[in-house]
Amino acid sequence: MENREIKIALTGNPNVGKTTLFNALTGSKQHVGNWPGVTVEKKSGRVSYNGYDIEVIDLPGTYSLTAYSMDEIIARDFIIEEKPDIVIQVVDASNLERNLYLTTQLMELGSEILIVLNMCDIAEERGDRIYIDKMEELLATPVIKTVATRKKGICELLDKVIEEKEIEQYHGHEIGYGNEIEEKVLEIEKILSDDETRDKRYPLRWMSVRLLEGDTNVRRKIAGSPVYDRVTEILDSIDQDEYEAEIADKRYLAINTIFPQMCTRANDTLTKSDMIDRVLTNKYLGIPIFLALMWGAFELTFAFATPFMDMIDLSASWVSEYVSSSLEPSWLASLVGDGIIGGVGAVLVFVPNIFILFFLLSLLEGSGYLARAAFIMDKLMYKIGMHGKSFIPMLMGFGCNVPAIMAARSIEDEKDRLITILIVPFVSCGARLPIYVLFAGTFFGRQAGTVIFAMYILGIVIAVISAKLLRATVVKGKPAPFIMELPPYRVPTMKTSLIHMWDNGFMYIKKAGTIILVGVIVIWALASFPWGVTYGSENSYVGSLGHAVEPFMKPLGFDWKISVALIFGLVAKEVVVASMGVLYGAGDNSEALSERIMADPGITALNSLSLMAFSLLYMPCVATVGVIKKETGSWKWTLFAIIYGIAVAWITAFVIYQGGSLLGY
Amino acid sequence: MDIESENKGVNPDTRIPMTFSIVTGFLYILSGLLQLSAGIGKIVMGPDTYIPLTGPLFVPADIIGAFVLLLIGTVFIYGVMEMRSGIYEGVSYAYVGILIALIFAGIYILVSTGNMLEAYLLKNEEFLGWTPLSDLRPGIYLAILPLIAFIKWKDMFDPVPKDGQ
Repeated sequence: MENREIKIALTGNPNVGKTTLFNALTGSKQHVGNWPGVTVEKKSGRVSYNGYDIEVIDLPGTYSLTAYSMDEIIARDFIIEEKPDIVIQVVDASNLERNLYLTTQLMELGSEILIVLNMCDIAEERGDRIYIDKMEELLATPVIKTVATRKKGICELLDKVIEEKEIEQYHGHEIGYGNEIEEKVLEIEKILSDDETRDKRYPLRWMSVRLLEGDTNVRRKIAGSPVYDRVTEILDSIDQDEYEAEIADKRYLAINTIFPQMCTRANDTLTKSDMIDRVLTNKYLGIPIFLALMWGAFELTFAFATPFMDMIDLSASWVSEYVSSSLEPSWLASLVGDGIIGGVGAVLVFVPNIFILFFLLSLLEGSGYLARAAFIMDKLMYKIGMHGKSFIPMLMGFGCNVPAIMAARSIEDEKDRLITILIVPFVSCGARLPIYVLFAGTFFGRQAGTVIFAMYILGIVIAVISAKLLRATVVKGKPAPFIMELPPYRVPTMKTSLIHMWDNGFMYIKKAGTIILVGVIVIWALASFPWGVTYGSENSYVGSLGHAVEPFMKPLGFDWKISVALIFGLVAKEVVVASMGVLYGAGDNSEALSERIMADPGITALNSLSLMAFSLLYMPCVATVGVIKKETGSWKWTLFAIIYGIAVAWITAFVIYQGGSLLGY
Repeated sequence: MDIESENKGVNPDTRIPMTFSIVTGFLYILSGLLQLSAGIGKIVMGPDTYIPLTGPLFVPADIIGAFVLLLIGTVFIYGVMEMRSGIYEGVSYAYVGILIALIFAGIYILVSTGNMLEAYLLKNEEFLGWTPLSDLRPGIYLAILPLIAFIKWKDMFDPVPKDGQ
């Protein structure tokens, strides 16, 4: 039998479980998190079911279709322009009333809607009762119950999707906005219908309402239309703010009328989430608890990973020795032993740290704590001229700066967004971790975990100072007010945490086999030539390169070898450690590398602190630069980010090294 | 939002969590102060400095660890202050104090497990003479109280109406 196709779009408020449902439907492993704004780009997947080939598109979460932020525009444009067969609105059953606002807007768009009532377990646990039949009747829309985390109700949902597609019955529903507004709506509708060239995918009533609400995005869409002036004349004659408020009021009135008929809520209860929030968001205890938890995470990342690192060291050492001693000719043995095993191996040793860090970050994220971190930091953020929402991309930056910069899309204000993009690279990502583990482990022994924690804090402090500086100079203005929904706390599922850990950890391993491998071969070649020089000596090409930049790096306490490692670290931060492995010829053995670094009179505890700070702050990697260009759309800001980062790194390392030297360290 | 019940007579009894919070909070704060003294003493007066009681109570010279103990103790005592004022929601501090105490005990036990692997499996020279007692610290043994409370009082922290009824 030939497969028939159905295209469905998943939409809904942020953090209602759209991506969890997407994963349950398609078998994908897209990243999910317990905070609003995890999905910033639409994602697509497919499922074959009962002879149908169903394409599922996961859209970014939106509270409304007002198009105030980029993710709202992405969601809205997709629904209107791509015209999916069915729009599935995922609704948080424990927060039904608020979710219905989006329902009213989707109905106006004229989409074929199907409501998925997710997180029913949380609502039921609280004692809420939702009457599905009544809800279907009042909304004139099919409703399906699911618990996406446990894959409950997925088959029923797919059956319903197919049934709706087969009957192709449109469930229309309109909200009346009162005589005055309705007259204007009709007037604009009539004018717009006179334009034969208009984009017919946009429903006339919806466009008219949006124009009356002052939607600049819709206004731009009709800017070239011959009827534009006539529409503008009407819009100029009204108070749009007042109309916008009145329209929102009418929608809420409609919701408040139907809501009590479809749901009875339990008495306002003190839930465990409320209890935890009362303490974790306490104005005195919130920040100390956040810092303590982050310290605990980094202590564990370092201390618990150490035996596993040693195991990798031990098991890989014999491979290194065997390969080096059995290969001929000598240049090939050097390439494999000093170059590939020394460089790539030096990076692979830190895989346990990376896996543990990502696992812990996933637990924090899945529990809903990251959203609280943004909330408790908001007051401080506002004082320094930043938007509270900026703290979420910053925390995401602990994993990788690239998705963190993309997460800034959820920030509505352009200036707030730009500042966030420019400061996220200062947040220490997983790729910097091997540098800290290597140097803190070598010079600070059992205090290494605390030193690593200090580096992460330094990154946040520098980011915050930079935001203040940028706000006062090049990106002037006041941050927009911050409103964010705090999701309920949940016990993170082990499966989701392990998938998150594996995805990110595997990316690190993959990098070791690709970009880092190429990097170490280039460094090995530069360290081996011109022909006849001692490997890695000052007379080699790499030595010449190091000496060329040494005067710039000397005030920071860096010799030519460190300088070379930092230059190659521009490609990816892991290459710094890989370069050290190649240049110190330590083979695949982090202990040997530590010993050789320790034995180098040019590197002391103070130099290592300066080096860690410089590595933290200078340009993260080429991928981050690429995403800054993409997200700002400007070479000017991209170049600014690079130069500013290097300048900040240089000044900070200079202060640490010269200050420490003056104090006699 | 502080909700002070107008009808204090119908509030659930908070005497048990309050007594527990007083005892546990003070134990954590005392251990934290002792650990802080050991840490500062080590820096100011040298590594051989001995602070009384630190040996028999397995208190390490760890300043950040001391702040963690003080923080846990403060959470419990903060709750006591609220519960004494008749704010039923003060019980939240006992609940979160228990959770944080258990989280940090878990972290210390995992770190100790790593050290055990170094000592017994990998025979790392740096861990010669290491025994499980080497890593015992107040953050681990004090958590026995919160652990018992967590197991015993599961129902106490279940959702209740916000007016405490």
